[in-house]
Formats: sequence, C-alpha cells, structure tokens
Amino acid sequence: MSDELFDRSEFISYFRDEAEELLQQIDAELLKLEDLVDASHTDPEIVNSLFRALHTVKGSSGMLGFSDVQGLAHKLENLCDLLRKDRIPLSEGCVDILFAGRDLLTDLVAAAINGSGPPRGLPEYSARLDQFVAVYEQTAYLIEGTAGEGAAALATSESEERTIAGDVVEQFEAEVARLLAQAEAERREHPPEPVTPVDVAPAAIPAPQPAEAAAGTVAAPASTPKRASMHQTIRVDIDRLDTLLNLVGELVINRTRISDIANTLERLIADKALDSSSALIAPLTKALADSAALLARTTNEIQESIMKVRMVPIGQVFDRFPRLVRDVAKARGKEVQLVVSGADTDLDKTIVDEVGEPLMHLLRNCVDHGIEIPELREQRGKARAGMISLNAYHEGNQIIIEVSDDGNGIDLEKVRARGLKQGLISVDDRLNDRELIELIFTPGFSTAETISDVSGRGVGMDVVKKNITRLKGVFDVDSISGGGTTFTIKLPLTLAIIQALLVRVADELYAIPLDSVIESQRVEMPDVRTVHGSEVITLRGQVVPLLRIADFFELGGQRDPEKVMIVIVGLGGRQVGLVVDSFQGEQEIVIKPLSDVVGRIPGISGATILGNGSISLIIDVHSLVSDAYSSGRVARAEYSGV
Amino acid sequence: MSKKILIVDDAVVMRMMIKGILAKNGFDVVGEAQNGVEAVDKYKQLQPDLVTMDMVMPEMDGITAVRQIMAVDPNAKIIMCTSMGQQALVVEAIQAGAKSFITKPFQPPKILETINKVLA
Repeated sequence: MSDELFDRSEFISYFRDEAEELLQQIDAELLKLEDLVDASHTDPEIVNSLFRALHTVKGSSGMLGFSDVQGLAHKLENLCDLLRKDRIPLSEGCVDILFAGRDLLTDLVAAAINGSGPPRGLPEYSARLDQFVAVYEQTAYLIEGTAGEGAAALATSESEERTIAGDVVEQFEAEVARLLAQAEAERREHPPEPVTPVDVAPAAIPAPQPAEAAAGTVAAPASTPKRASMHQTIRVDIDRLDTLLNLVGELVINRTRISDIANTLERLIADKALDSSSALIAPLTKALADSAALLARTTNEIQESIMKVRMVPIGQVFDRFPRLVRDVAKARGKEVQLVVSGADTDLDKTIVDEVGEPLMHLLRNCVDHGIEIPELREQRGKARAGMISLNAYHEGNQIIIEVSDDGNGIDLEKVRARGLKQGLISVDDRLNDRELIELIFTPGFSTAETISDVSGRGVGMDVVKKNITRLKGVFDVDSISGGGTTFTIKLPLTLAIIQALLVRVADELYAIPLDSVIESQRVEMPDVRTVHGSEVITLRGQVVPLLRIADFFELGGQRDPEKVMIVIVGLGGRQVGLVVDSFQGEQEIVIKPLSDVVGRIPGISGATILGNGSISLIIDVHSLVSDAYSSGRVARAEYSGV
Repeated sequence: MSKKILIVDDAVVMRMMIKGILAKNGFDVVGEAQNGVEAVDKYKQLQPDLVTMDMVMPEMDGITAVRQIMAVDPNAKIIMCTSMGQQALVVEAIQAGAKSFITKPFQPPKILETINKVLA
C-alpha cells in the first residue's frame, strides 16, 4: 500500500484502544456463551456480536499491516460464522478454543503494537483450531454426507491471510462483478412482480415501499431502542490535565489569599483602624470583596470541571474481572458467580489505573481461599456455586469498593497457628479478632497449605494493603467464619485536592487530611495516663495511645502542663491521638508533592501553600499510625490491660 | 466546492484512515457514524454527497442502512467497504442501491478512484 498517504504511528494508538475494548467485549460475550453450553444452543445475538468484534479487529489490523493479528482474527471470525450457522455445535471445547484464541489474539495485538516478535504458540494454536474444525467437519460428513463448508471456509482463510496482494483483491472484485452481472441478468429475465417504475441506474432496485417511507419517517427497527449516539470527543494526554489541575491548584490558593485580604480590609474598616477619610476606600473594599467572591465561585467551578474531566467509570477496571474469576474458578475446580454492580461509578483516572491490581488480587483470593469446592458447599447447605460480589458506590467525597464472597470466611484459628509458626506473634499475645485479621496483612503471611499458582505465593494481602494506602485509601476486612469475607476499600475521589484540618505545633502549621480525622478534643492532663512510658487516654472505653507531633518531628517547644489538644486519627480500626498545640480550622488544600531534593520524610506526605502564602506540611497519618504501632510503644500500652 | 462525505464504520481506525485519505485529497468529511442507525440519522441531517458504508456493524448493519438511506433519498451515493469473503453481501448491497464498493484493506488510490467515479 502506498505508505506516503498514511502516518501509521498516528493510528496505532487508536488501534490499541479500540482493540483493547473489543477484546474486552469478546471476553464478555464468550462468558455469556459459556453459560449456554449446557443448553447446547447458541444465542445468535451473542455470536453475532463476537463475529462483529472479531471482524473489526481483523479490518483494523489489516489496515495497519498486522498480518498475524488479521490472520487469527479472521480464523476466529470464521469459527464464529460456523457457530452462527449451526455448522458447529456449541460445546465446552468450542468455547475453550475461542477463549484461548482470544488470549492469543491479545498477545498478538500487544506484540504487533510493541513491534516485538510474535508470541509463541501461534502455529500450535492455528493447528489446534484447524483440527477442531476439521474433526467436526469429518463427523458431519459421515452423518450428513455433505462436504463441510466449515473446512472450506477455514481453507479460504488461509489463502486470504497469506497475502494482501492485489491479485487476491482483484479475484474477489472480479467475482463480485460476475455475481452482479448474473443477478442483473436474472432480474431482466424475471422482472419483479410489482411494476414500479424502474430507475435506469444499473443494478439499483427501487427502495421498498417508497410511498410510505417518506423522508423523516423511516424509523429505526424496534429492536434497537438504545441509540448509541456518538459523542463529540477528543483525546487528551493525561499529563496535560495534570498540568491544568496543578495550575488550578495555584488559582485556588490565590483565590483564598485574595479573599483573606478582602476580609482583613473589611475588618479594619469596621474597626475604624484604617483611615477611611478617603471616601474611596470603603467602596473599593466592597468591590474587592465582591470580586473575590465571584472569583471564588468561578474557581470552584473550574476546579470541579477539571475534576470531572479526569473522572472515568470504574467499569473500565471491572470489565476484565468476570474472565479472571472464571479462569481461576475453572483452574481450582470451583463454581463461582460474580455479580458486579456500580460499574458506572466515576473515579479519578489515576486511581482507576492503580486500583485494578489490588482488586484483581482480592478476587483471586476470594475464589482461591474464600469459595469452597462445590461438594463442601452442598454439605454446608449453600448453593453449589459460590457468589462473589463486586460493588462500587460514592459516599461523600469517597468511593467505596466492596469485594465480598459467601465462602469460608477467614479461619482465625488457622491465622493464629500460622502466625505463631512464622514467628509473627508469640503464645502470650492476646489478640482480638480484628488484630488476628490484621495479621494477614503482614508481608509473607499465607494460610494456604500448599502454594497454588493462583494465590498463596506470599505476595498477598500486604501488597494489596500497601497499594491501597498509597492511593490514600483505607482497607478493611470483615469476616464471618464459615459465612464469607468482605473486603472494603475506601478511596478518595481524587488525589490532588483534599480537605484538611490545620493544626499548629511549635509555631509551625501542619495539615492533617480530614478523611482520617475522627474527632478533635481537649483533654485535661490528669486524664492522660502513662503506661509503660507511653501516654494514653481512654476514649469511650477504648484505650487510645497518644503521639506528640512535636516529639515525633523533634521540634522541641513548651508542653502545656494542664491540658493537651488531641486530634484522633483512625486508620483501619486503629486509632491514635495526635497531640498538637492548637487547632486552626478546616481548609481545602492542594497537595504538592515534595521534590526529590527533600526526599522522603517519615510522617510527611507532601506540602501545600496556604492562602497567606505560607507553606504547610501535610501529615502522613498512615505512616505515623503504623510507625506508632510497629515500634511496639503503642501496642504495649494498648494491651497491658489499662 | 468540495464534496461532502459521511464515513460510516464501527472501527475508529478505519474512520480515521478514510478520513485522512479523503481530507488530504480535497474532500470535506462532514460526519462520521459508527453504526447503521447513526448513519441514517446523520445522512438526513448532513445531506452528504457521498457515503462510505461498512457492512458489518452493531445496532444496524450496512446493507439495512443502505436500504433506509435509499428510501429517504433515492439519489444517495453510497460506496460499500467490504472484506474479502463477503461476495454475496456485496451483491446484496449493490442491489439495495449502493453504487460501488471498495475492498479492505484499502489502497488509497483505489478509494479515490472509486469515489471520483461514483461522484462523476
């Protein structure tokens, strides 16, 4: 093909996105098809959808010269065609071969895009596919005594994929011309019965019922009520959005600053501290305040709009899970039904990209450890097929994702035994259920008796938890022994702008993310007790260890001998009281990561610029809490039975 | 005045390619549709001089779309985009009123030649 007319690379990214979507669709349709195997009849709509998706992959890859992809898509398309025409019955073997083909196609697409060599297994798979069709064709031949068209169809595909050369195209076009001529001749011999005036245009048959089909009244078939309208969209590099968001962050900061100035001026005038003899000052101040208010509103709207631009439905991630669950369940001899809801819940693109991996791991875990084998489930009076539900919804400024199963639940005795064996706990440790569950988040922890290829390789829940925490999320587990497990992930809608509680410690301002703040209060010193050298308070019957921010960051400063101001922060059921000097109110802050020059500072997750231009460090609640607990200080205090 | 073209294909890559070729050669691509239903709607709305129509699409296939467009405008000029192995369908489409066809994978000169011939 004449390449000078194409900038091939320009199309490859479109191809990648499209192929990804289509492969996902193929997966979804195959899962539906698999459910019909027992009924052993196909649903034409499913097979047609498969056929079309493969056809599109074939066409697009052909245009880009990805001949391996084109060839395989063509073969699979043919198999679907045979299925569609009932020339091959729907069977488990058939679905399996389609699944395998879909996976190989995924690999081929990736290889084509990356320009790497074709993945292994293509010749083997092609042979397997050909043989599958051929075997069936032979049987069909014996039974029906007709030569199989299926084998023929696959055979023609060979010649098609071998070459995109002009001669094949010419042959094809010649054949169409011949068929057209033939049809034309037949039409002349047997003119259509209703004698409508025939247009002289060759081969054009009058449109059906032209009278009724007046312009504008041609309705779409009733079977397609959902009109997928093509939205006007453009594709934007996420980096550009990040830049824009950062700029808006600056704007938010300045807006706050201008509001502050206006407020100060108004106060000064009210207090008569300003020489208001000039008649201009009061109206100017009023104008400034009005402008500031307007600016605030517009800035908020810009901020919200940009946030919305970055939002994508979490379904993008959920879509690949049905297949995953199916594969794992099949490999482990289990029956599992995955119920997905809330796939249209919107979430920041960055978070959506990151949350897939942890969710995948949780689902694998549910199938592998949670759901029992069918026989055991029957004994326990449950349905043979285990149920895993994946649900997402918004709650305030957060998105909640729940993964739950109706399987075994976490066997706490087993966890304890394993914890002892791995030296994570000692016999004397009196752990409550929650703390036992927390053990599964310890690196290297696994209750799996044998290491399967699915989970239980020691890279487990600790990694999941770490990933969620990195996204400023909270991860919780609830489990009923014998009744199932629910994993709950709470994630912020965005990572860039958060609500924070500002506190003052040793004359510095610190920001504590509000989502981890449970409450703040003033406690009189006599209510603070010291246990094993650590300060604790009792809050509604629960012992809460204290952590003095000034000590943690070695800021020095005076301690108030009479009282402490405490911000109770919570993380995954563990609470710590952060001791500060004073509370400075809540504010929306824009997170700026610390530069590499500063490096990673324990206890600090970033910085922000406040309305008055000063800089405030953002406290990394997670690292403070886990540091407090892992150092043993807090744990000792908590379990010494205060 | 340059001729107005409507491109119908469910594959974004295909639409981009055809659009690229046509735009570089002085045609005005006035719209794109990704299935037959949209094609009929956009045809009525945009009144293009020519339509390139894919055959295999979700919602409504190309041949049905040709029939519906021809019912609205018997003078519509539609070119089918077809893959090899679809001889019978091409014939059906042309009987339904399509004026010509091009075979995937396209060769740019061939597309232009076919379009110019149909518009002449």
